[in-house]
Amino acid sequence: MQPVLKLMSASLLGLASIASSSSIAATVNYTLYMTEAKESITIPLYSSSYIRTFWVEGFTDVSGSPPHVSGIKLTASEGDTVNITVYNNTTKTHDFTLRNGLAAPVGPAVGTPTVTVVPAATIAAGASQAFSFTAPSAGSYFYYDPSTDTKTTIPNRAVGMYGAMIVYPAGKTAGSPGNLWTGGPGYTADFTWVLTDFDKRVNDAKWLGTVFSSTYKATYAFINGEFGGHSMKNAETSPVSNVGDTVAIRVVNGGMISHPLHFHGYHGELVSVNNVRQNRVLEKDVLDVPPMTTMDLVFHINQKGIYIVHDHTGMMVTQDGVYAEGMIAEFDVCKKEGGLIANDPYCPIPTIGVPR
Amino acid sequence: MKNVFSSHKLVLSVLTSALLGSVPSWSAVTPVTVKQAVDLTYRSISLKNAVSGATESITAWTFSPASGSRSGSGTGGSADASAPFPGPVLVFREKDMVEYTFNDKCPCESRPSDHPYAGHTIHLHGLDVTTQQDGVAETSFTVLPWSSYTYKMGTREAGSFVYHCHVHTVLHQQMGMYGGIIVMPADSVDQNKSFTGSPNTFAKQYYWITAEVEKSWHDKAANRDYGDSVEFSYFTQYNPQHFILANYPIDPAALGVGTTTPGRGLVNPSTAGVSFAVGTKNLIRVGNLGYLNHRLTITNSAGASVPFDVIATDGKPMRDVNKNLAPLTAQTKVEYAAGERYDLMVTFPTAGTYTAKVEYLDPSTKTPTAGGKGVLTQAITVQ
Repeated sequence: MQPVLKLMSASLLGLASIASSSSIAATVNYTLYMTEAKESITIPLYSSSYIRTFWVEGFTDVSGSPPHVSGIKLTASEGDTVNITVYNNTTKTHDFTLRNGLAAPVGPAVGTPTVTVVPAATIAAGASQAFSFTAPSAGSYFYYDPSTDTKTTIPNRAVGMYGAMIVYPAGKTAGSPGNLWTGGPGYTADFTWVLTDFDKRVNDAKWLGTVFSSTYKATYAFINGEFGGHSMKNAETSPVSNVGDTVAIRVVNGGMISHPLHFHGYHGELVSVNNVRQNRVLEKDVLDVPPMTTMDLVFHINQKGIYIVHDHTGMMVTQDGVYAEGMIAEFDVCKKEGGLIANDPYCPIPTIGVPR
Repeated sequence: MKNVFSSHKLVLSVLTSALLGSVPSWSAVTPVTVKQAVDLTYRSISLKNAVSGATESITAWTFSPASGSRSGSGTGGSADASAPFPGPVLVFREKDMVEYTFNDKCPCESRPSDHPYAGHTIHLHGLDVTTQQDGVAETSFTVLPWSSYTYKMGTREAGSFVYHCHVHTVLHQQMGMYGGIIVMPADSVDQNKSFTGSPNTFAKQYYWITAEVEKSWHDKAANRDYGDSVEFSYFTQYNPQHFILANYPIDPAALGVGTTTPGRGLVNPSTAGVSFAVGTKNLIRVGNLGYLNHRLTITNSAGASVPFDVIATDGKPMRDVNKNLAPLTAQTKVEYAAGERYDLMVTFPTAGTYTAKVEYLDPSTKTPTAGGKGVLTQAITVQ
C-alpha cells in the first residue's frame, strides 16, 4: 500500500518527462508474517476434480493467515525509505534477506556482483525484527529465507519462503505506464511473475521433520501462487492488452529448478537479468529462467489474439500429474479488441474439430 | 492483418538481383505461395534404453510427408514402417505464404469426438502466427482423426523453429509428434546464410533435433490410458530412459528442384554420418523437443573443445541494444531448454574425426540424467 505522500507526489508530477531529481522520496511501511500451514488446492479433471493438500512455509501480509504461495509482492520507488517488519509466527527459526538475483552469469546473459539490500538476519520463532533501508536502484529484488532446515536438510526456500520486491524509478509507482529504469525501456503496463515449484515429497518431509535425500523433482507449479486456468484469467498475472501496448514482464524465479517459459504469439526482449542491463538484447520465445534469478522482458503487442504462456516442460504444465495445469498464463489481446468472433483469424471462438 | 511483406527488403532484393544479373525464382520480389502437406501416422521404432542398454521397440505417432496410400477410420488403420521419425524438417523461405495441410491419418485416439483432447494440431512454435493458426487446442481447434486442415501463415524473418502437436502435449510429445522448421532467407544471395544480412556464409548446414522418451509416460498414451476422470499422478516423475538425437542434413538448393517453389521442401532425418570440409564455416541448428535441458559440446579426437559462435536463437539473430549483430563468439558449450533453438557457426581447422556430445540434464542436479547415462554422441568426419 502506497502512503498518501507518494500518491500526492505522483499526481503532482504526473508525466514521465519530469526529472527524477524533482520527485519526493516517500516512506513505505510493510509488515510480513512468516507462517506455516497445510494448504489445499483443487485440481480440475475432465469431468471431476481432486484436492491436493501440502505443507507450505512462507510469507503473508495478513496476521493469522496461512502463507501466500509465491509470497507477497512489495513495491517501492528509488530513494524511498522502506520499513519492513517481519514477524516469525512459525515454530522454527528463520532467516530473512533481501537482494537481487544470483550474480552468476546465466547463459548468454552477463552478471555483476550481488547487491544485498538487507543482509541475512536470524529471527527466532515467535520473535520479530524491523528492517529499514533506502530503496535501491529500480529493478526486481528477491526476499527469502536463505537458511536450510537442519533437521530435514531442506532449504526453507524449497517450501515457499520467498517473495518479490519491485523498485520503480524515482517518482514512479506501480500501476501506471513507466520505464524499467530511468531512461530504460518503457512500458504501458508491467507485471511481476513470481515462479514457484514444489516437490510434494519435500513438502511432506518438511512437515514430518524427516530428512529428504532424493533428487528434487517438482510436482506443483505456480505463478504468483496460482496455476492453470486461475493464473490465465487473473488480470494481475495475465495481461489484457490492446494492440500497440508495450508490456513488461518481471520474472522472479523463487523455485528450485529452472523454468523455460514459452511465449506464443510474440517474442520478448530480454533487457535485464538480475538487474544487470543487457547489452546483448535477446529476442526469445522460450526463456529459461534459472532458480533465484530475475529476468525482465519487454513485449511489443503487435497483433490481436489469445496467446498462452507456459513452462515448456511436461512436468510443469501438469499439477500433480494433471494436464493442462501448472505454470500457465496468457496474453489476452481480444477482450479489449472486440472479443471472440467465430472463425476470426486472431480472436476465434475455440471449437472441437476444424472450424466450419 | 500485420503486413508480412517488408518494403525495404523488396527494394534491396531488386537491387541485388539486378547487380547479379539474374532473378532467382524464390526472390523476395514475388511472394510465393508454398503448399505442403504432412500426414500423422504411426509406426514402431527402435530406441536404446540407456539405463538397461537394451534396444526396445516403442510406438511412435509421427508426422510424415503426405501419402495418398494411408487410409483407415476410427481406431482402424495400418502402421507405416516407412514413416520418418522424428517428423520431417519443413523448409520455407522468408515472406512465403504457406499453406500447410495436416492430415490426421493416425488411429491413435479412442476418445469421443467431442472430447477436447480427441484430435491433434500442429503448433508452429516460434513463428508468432495468429491464434487460429497457432495449433493450441484450447484457443483454436483440433483436427479430429481422419480429417484434415490447411494451416496458413506468412513467414517473417529467417530462423530456426520447431513444430509439435499442442493437444495434451505432455502425452503427444512423448509419442513423438514433433519436428523442425527452417525459414531460409528469401533472397538467393543469402542462400547459404542463416538469416538475411548475416556475415556468415556456410558451406553445409544441419538441424539437430534432440528429445527424450520417458517410457511410463509414453505407454500411458500408447495404451490410451489417459486418466481423464480419475485421480492419478502419471506425470510427476519424469525419468527418461530413451534419448533422441535426430540429424537432418539441409541443402535448400536441392529442395523443390523443378517445382514452382524451389528451395522449399521436407527433409527427413538421416542415418548417414555428419561430415564437413576442413576449414569451412558450417551451420548447426539445435532444437530441443524434450523436457530436459540439453547441453551440446564438440571435441576433437584428443578431447579438446572445438569452439563455435552462437549467432541466433529462437529464430532471431543475436543483436545488441543498438540492433547491431552481436554473436556470442568462441563458445565451448550451449545449453538449450525445452522448446529453445540456437544457431551455431563452427569451423573445423584440421581433418579428422570429431565428436558432438549431447547431455540430457537432470533439472535439479544439472548432470546427465538416467544415472549419468543420459548422453548421446554424433561422430563428425572432417576431410
